[in-house]
Amino acid sequence: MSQDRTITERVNTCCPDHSPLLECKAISFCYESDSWVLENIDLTCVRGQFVGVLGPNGAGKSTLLKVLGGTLRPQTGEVLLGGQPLHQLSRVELAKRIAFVPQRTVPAFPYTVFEMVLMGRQPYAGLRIFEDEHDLEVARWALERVGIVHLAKKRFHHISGGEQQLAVVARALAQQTDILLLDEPVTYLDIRHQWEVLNILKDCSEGNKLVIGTFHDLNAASRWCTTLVLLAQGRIVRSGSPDEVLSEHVLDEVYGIALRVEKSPAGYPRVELP
Amino acid sequence: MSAAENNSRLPRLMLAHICLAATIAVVLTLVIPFVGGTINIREVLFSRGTHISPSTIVFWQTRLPRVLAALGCGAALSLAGVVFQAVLRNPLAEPYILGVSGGAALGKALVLVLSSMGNVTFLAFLNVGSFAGALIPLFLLHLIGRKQRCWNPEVFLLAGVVMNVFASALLLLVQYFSDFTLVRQMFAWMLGGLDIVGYAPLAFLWPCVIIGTVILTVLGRGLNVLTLGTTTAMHLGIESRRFVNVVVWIAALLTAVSVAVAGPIGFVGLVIPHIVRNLIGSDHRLLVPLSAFYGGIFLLLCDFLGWRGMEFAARGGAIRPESVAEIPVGIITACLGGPFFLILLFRQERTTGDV
Repeated sequence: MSQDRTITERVNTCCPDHSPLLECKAISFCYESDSWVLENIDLTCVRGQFVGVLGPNGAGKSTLLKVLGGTLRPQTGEVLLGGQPLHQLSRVELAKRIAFVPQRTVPAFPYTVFEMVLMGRQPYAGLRIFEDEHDLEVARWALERVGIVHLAKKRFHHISGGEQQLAVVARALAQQTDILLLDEPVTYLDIRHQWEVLNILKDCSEGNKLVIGTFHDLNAASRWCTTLVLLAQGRIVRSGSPDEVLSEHVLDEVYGIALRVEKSPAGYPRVELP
Repeated sequence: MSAAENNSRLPRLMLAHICLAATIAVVLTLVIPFVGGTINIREVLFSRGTHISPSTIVFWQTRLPRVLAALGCGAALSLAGVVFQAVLRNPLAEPYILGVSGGAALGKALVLVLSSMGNVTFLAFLNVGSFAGALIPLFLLHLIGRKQRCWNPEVFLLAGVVMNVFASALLLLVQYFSDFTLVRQMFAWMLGGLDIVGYAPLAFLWPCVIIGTVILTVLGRGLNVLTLGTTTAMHLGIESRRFVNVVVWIAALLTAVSVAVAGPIGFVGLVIPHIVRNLIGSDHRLLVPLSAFYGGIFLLLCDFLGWRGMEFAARGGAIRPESVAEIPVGIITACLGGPFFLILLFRQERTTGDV
C-alpha cells in the first residue's frame, strides 16, 4: 500500500548516518542508598541494531532499560540521545524519539484496541483535544503493521495476552520513534505470538530503527538479536554478537549452571540445559 | 475502517452529547423552581416596578439559587470523582478520598463554636471556615507527596483515610465539649443540604465549576493516557508528576468548594462517573464534561425529591400533612446511590486485574 510506505519512510530516512544513536557513558544507578544496581555501564547503540539485554533476575536489566528510556536518572554518568544528554529533553521530545513497551499492560478502564493504539499519538497532540486525520492514518497503519486490524474495535482487556502485546507494540510504532525499548516483550507470550512480535521487532531494526529489549529466553535472543549485552550484578559481563556472548564458561559464571552451547542448523548459538 | 471512523466522529459526538445534556439542565433549571409550593409564574415573570410580589422574592432569592447550587455542586463532585478515579486508576475512588470532607466538617464546627462563645458572631464565615478546613488535609498531602520520589496512589489513599479519621476524631472532641444545639447544627450540616439563600456562595462555586470543566476537558486526552499508569504516561510524553499535581489540585479544590457550599454530599462523585462511563465509554474528553452535566442534573433531581417529596407524599395521603419536612439531599443521594452502586458492582464485569 502506498500509504504504508509514506509513513514508514518518514521514520526511516530522517537520519541515515551510523553515528551512535543512544550512548551510555559510565552510568551508575542505585535506588535509595543501597548498593549500585547498575555500575559503570558503557554502551553504544546505533540504528539498525536489535540489542538483546540478558542476565539473571536482579541483574539490572529492567533498570538499565528505565535509565535508557529516561524514567530513571543515573546518579553518575549520562545517557546521550544523538549526542544530547537525555535529561535535557522534555517528556514530549523523548516520547517522539523513544517508545517503550512494558512487560504487561493492565488498563484500569475498558479502552478499545484502536483507542489504545491511538494513544501512541499523544506526543504529537500539542494542544489539540482531538486526533487529526494523520493520527488516525498512522494508528491504522500501525495496526496493519502488526496484523491485528480485525481487533481494532475489540476491548483491550477482552483480547488474549499475545494480542494485547501486539497492540502495545502497535502503539509504540504509532509513536514513530527511532528507538524502541521493550521490557521482556515476549515473556508471557505463547510461541506463535513470540515469533510474531520478534519478527516485527527484527523488521523494525532492519528498517533502520534501534530496538533494545530485555530477554530471559537466551535462544530467542540468539536467534533474533544482532547484538547481545549480558549483565550480572549491575555490570556488563560481555557484549557483542550472539556468538561472542553466548559461550559456555561465561554463561556458567553468570547463571551458575553448566549450560551447553551448540550451533543450531541455521548457524545461531543454541543454549541447552545440562 | 470503522474504528477510525468512530474516532473521527468524536468531535461531533461530543458536541451532540453536550447539547443534549445542556438542554436537559436548562429545562430543569427553568421548570423545577415553579413546581410545588405556592408560587405564581405570572408574578415572577411579569411583575415590574415598585411592587415586588412574594413569589418573585421566593423565586429569585431561594428557589433559583438552590437549583443553581445543586447543578454546581453535582458538577463539581462528579468532576472530582472522574479525576480521582483516573489518577488512582481505581473506579471506586471518590472525591472525599483525600480527607476533604473531614477537614471541612472540622473547620465548620470550629467556626460554630467560636461564634457561640463570644459576643461577636462569625456565622458569616461558616463557608469560609469549612473551605479553609478542607484545604488543611490537602496541604498536608501535598507535603507528603513532595517527599515521594514518584506518584504512589497507595500512600495518598492511606493518608487520605487517616486524615478523615483524624479529623472526625477531633470533631467528636469538639462536639463533646459543645452544647446540644451546636451539636445539632453540626450534625445537620454533615448531612449535606442545599438550602441556600442568595447568590454569594454561587459566585464562588460557578466560576470554579466552569473553569474546572474546561481545563479538565482539555486535559482529557492526557487523563486517558494517565489511566495506563504514570510510567507508561511518561513514555507517551506526559510529565506525569506535574500533570497529576495539576489535576488532583483542581479536583480537590472543586470538592472543597462544593463541601463549603453544601456540606459533604455523598455518592454523587462516585456513582455519576461510573454511570456515564458505562453509557459512553472511558474517553475522558467525553467523560469529563458529561459527568459534570449529569452530576449536576442528578443532584438537582435528588434535591427536588427531598425537598418536595414529602409534600407530594402528604398530598397523596401517604403521610399526615403536619409531618411535612425537607429531607436533606445528602440522605437522598446516599439512599439512591448506595443500592444503585451495589447493583452496578454485582453486574460489572471484571476489567481490572490485580496488577
